Amino acid sequence: MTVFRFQHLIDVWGSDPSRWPASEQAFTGRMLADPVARALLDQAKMLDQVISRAETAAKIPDHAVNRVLAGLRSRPLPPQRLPLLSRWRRGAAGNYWVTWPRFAALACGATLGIVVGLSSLGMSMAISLDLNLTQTAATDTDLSGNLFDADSVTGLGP
Amino acid sequence: MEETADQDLMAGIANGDEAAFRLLSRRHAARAIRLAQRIVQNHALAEEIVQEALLRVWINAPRWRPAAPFQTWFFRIVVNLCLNQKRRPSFAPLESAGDPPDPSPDAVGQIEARELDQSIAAAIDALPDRQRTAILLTYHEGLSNAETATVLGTSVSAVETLLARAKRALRAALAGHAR
Repeated sequence: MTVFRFQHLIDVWGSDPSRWPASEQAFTGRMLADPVARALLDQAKMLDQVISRAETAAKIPDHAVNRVLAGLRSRPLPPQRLPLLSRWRRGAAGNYWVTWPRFAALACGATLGIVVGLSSLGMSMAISLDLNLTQTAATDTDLSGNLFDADSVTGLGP
Repeated sequence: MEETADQDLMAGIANGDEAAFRLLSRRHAARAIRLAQRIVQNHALAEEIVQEALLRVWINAPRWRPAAPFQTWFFRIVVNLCLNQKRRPSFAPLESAGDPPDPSPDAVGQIEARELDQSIAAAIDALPDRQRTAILLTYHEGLSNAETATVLGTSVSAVETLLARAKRALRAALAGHAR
């Protein structure tokens, strides 16, 4: 292990070698015999102490916490976001007697939709069939009138 | 109910238990405000962020799965909100002006220690957001590198890089103060 590697381990894992990964700890004892490495560790311990002291100095007063909690109490909580699958499961398995009217209404709606759809389909088919027959009859009449009108050719001969 | 585990409270919250939500909020609000305050460096903003984070806990509780401790998930929400906030332009907080030094003659040693603390605190504040957050989570909140990686939504090796860079900058600040 080099001094640079040792410094990197100090930076990443802190100045307490007992908290380092076991694979790295095996080389620590040998490194600490080096005065340069030992100086690095002492400096890192001091830095850790200063950082920790700077962090713990920042205490949060109770009134800040109370303000946040009061802010939450001041308005109604928003609706929760349920996963779709669990909502269905909860309705289907957990509370059958509350949810069966919804399923019944859904089934009635679907049945009604199918009946209305089929009947309107039958009506539209009947109307279109009727129209086709009427149109065919009208077309036959017109054609025969145009093709076999005797008056239209009268007097054209020499 | 005070000793109820976070996981059990979350199960209650997922079923719409507001009392459990209030208890969980009170339990974690102070640490979250302190963390947010150190990241965004603004008291009022930190409180707003924690309130928003707690609302998100309420909203998303039914989707929460106890794969990681609640605190890690909650810190992740707070840190994400803070880092998003930091990307927007903002005013410098009044508290960044610092406190006047104690003038009493027997406090020379304390003043020196306080100056050292202040210069390191200033160096922490000057770090890039993610490096500062990594330092705060490991030193302040006592999270492991793996937990910090979860909170930051990154890999452990990326956290190690962040910590190594941050420590290098802080070491330079410490050396500058010693001169």
